[in-house]
Amino acid sequence: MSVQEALKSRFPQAAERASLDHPAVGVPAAELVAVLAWLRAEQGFDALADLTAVDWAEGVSPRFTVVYHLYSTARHDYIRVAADCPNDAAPEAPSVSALWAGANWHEREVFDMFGIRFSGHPDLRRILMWDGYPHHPLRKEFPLAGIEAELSDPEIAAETQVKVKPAPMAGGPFVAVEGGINLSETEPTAKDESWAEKNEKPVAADPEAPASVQVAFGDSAARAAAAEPDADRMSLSMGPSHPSTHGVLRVQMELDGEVVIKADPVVGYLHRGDEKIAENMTYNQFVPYTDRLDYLAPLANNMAYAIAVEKLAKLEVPPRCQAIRVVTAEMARISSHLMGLGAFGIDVGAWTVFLYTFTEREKLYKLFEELTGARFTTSYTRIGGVSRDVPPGWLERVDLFCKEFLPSLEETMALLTRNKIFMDRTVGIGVISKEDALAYGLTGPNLRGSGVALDLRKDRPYSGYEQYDFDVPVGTQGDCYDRYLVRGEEMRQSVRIIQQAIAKFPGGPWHAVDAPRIFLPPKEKILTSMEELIQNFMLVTEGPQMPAGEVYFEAENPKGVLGFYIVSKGGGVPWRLKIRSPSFCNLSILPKTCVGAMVADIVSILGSFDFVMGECDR
Amino acid sequence: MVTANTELAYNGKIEGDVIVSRSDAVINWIRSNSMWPMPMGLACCAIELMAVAASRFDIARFGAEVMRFSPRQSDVMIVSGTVTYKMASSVRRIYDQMPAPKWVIAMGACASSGGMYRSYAVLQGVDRILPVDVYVSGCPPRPEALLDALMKLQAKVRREPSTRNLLKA
Repeated sequence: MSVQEALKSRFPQAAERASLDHPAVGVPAAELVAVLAWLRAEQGFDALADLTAVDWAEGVSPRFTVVYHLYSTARHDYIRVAADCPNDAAPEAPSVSALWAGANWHEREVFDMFGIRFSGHPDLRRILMWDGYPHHPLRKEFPLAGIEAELSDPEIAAETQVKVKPAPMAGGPFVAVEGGINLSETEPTAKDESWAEKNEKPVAADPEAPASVQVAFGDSAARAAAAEPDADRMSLSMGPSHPSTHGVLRVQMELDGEVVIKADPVVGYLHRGDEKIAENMTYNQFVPYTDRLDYLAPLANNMAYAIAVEKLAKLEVPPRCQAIRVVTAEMARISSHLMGLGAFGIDVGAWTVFLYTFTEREKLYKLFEELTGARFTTSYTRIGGVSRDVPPGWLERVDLFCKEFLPSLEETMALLTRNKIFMDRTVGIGVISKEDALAYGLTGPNLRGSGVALDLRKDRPYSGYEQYDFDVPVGTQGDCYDRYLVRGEEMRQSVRIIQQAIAKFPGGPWHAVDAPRIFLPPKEKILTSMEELIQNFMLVTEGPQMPAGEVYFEAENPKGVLGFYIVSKGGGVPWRLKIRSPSFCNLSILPKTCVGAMVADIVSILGSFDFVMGECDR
Repeated sequence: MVTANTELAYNGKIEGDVIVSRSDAVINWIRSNSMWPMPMGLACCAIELMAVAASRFDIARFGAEVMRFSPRQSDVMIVSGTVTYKMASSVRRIYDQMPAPKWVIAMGACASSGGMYRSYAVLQGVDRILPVDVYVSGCPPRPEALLDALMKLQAKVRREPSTRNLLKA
């Protein structure tokens, strides 16, 4: 009996839902929690892969649908569960954060972007936009350019007279616009610029109360009332500009002396509106934006996105294209892990490691540049292929890199692996148990560091990964040191994959040949043949033509599992494109991992997580 | 008989322990060759900024290798990456904490103009909240381009009427 049949006999109100890939069911919102709990307990769908929502446009009823993707870590398959929100004006859905702790952040994101309230959620507030932002950007009536609003910081807004303004969709800031900002007038003159410090500090209403606890966490009113005023507590805001937050993460901490009592990561400082942008352009136009998700491994993102769209189009790419993608994705993995290693080294005080790893990264960049024309924002992959074949001699140079890289990696890791200082700062620090890692939706080296051997390249091979022989390293303790070791070993395994791929590199076409409505025709044909010219014109203006339907595809990226959920209504532009980003899910466990650690350990923990904010905030 | 002066530079035997120069030249020489950056690493460009600081491109050749994460110890803010509205206030606050004289390099398309992110969340150019001295094109700019921007900024600093500004302040 299939999962859907079992589900229907157990929940008669469940209906089959159209899907292009995984089994899918639609259930009433009232039964949602019961269905998900049953799928988890009885059917082995133990991991929440993704949670999102779709807006079917103003005036359509039901307007909002919440969509859940569950993954079975034993059988390695997915199920999609969707539920329509009953009220179109004030949509609401039940929270599943009691089932999966990782749902907490996903639900906050859906609330932020769509305004869907999750009943029973412990701490429902905005996550990507700032508290107090008046709109829900992924609602269909919200324009991509945005709506005028106030800046989050009234002090800065008063000082600079800057507001959140609609972005220009044509022209731009370098084009003079009437009423635009005049730079020579805004140039600060010799005036007192320490105004930020000179302002009066807020005075605590009660003179006995400690003035240091200023920042409230979450739903603060209730908590502040319950909490005993404790003179020893301090609040510490780390980031968003801090050398060891690897970008613009902010961790708001409450301390008792040196010990962290509460940690609340604030994300969204790099929220650029990728998902909204995707709804406004063709599938091919979005490829450069995938570069800038995890900008340490753009080639891997390109591939994940391209395969997701190809699944939608039911298109298979030829073996040579698959091999090119595997080689580039594994090179991206090495490049990303090297960066993680170097940054981790800096975080715990080992500057040399960074210089060593960047020497190797520059070699990789040189190879990327030769192949794609860019150092790291490559935009190499196309839907149905890649932008060009590998140049002559390139594979040999990659092979040579692999040979040189292995001894260099040993040398670099020898600086850390048995280093007393490094071990003191990482062994036994930031321990994550298997159960927690799965509950919070951790993926990639962070999950495997906790001893869970899940790797989509093995479990659900894509792009021909089943042909290659490689191991999936796992940790035993789940601490920062294990995550470091796992990344080191993964680089060695990536080298193995690259070498195997190069040894039997397939010939033949490097892009899908029978897909005229998806892949651009060759350039020389465009200039000589009418048919190809029209094809090219249609593809560029209308985008690759896709059937209507839904797909969800996940790929094993360096940072973890990168998923794309695409809802298509046909045509060249997606109706909804959700990016399930590994860094976002990985960071959601921070409030749990940081508690009880020392302040200096936070630096180690963040370094060992190796997240990237471009992808976390999208 | 008058002989032509063949001494091309300072000669201690003739001038003694005194160097005569314009104060502007001395101040600007010092300032332009020890510009400590405040790396405002926001997004992808920050990775190229790190590459500039690393072994191959080595920004130390231009006296700017001392990346100070404290704005109070830095001279030039390198805004590398997309400035979102959520982040804009923090960027401005950090700029305000830098001691004068201070300069700003907008590294890459996003920092210069919003770049490819024409969307509701992105500030369309960091110059809307703080003055920018050098814009660098590229998405991301190559490390050489950033070094070029630094050299252009050094050239700009060398032309500044530093003494007059100091006396005026």
